[in-house]
Amino acid sequence: MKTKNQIVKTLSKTRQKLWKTTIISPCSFRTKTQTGKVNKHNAKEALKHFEKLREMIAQRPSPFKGMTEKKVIDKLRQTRKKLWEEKIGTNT
Amino acid sequence: MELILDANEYIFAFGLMKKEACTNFFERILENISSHHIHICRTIVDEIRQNLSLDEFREFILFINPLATIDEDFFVPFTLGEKYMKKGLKPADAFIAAYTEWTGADVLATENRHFLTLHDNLPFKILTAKKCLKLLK
Repeated sequence: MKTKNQIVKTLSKTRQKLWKTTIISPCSFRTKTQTGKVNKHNAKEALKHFEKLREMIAQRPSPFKGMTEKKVIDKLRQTRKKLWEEKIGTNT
Repeated sequence: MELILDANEYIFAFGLMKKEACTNFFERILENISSHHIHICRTIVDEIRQNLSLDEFREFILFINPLATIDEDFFVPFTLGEKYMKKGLKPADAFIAAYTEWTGADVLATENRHFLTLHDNLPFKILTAKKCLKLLK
């Protein structure tokens, strides 16, 4: 039968192991993201959806109709600001 | 080339506002995808979603999934964002600049003039789609 000290030591080791896994997991994710190569099949697939999306958008009126490029960018920046404030929970 | 495409590049390329350079830029990337890598963060995805219907957004996800992994915003260190706020960018724009630096991307493609005025000592280039197209030729 294990003593109290032995149990504490085992639990401590488990915690250390879990902690190591937790702190390195975002790094593993990043490595995977950075090295992920896109093959020709994937590019073909993406192009298919890109064209379909453009077709879908062409069939409806644009929310930016009649606006200059500067105005559209300003509107997009406003959306970004609003989303960002919602995310960080402020309203400056 | 490692690329970050700002939300306005996607929106223009999809035709919500017609800008041929943006569409051509996307097509050029897709033609030669093995030489490039696109990074996209949650903030940019959320901004795009604001301008698309549910079906269109589904199509967007199907488009972006084979090309890039969506990075969560919380991966980006706060101090990096602060650095760009000190350079005069608004917090949300500063985050995009910080994200670009954090990913180690070579270029941030944007039509946003607030970014385009930022030049000094940056670890990446800030270019419009038109200039990127010239670079990719």
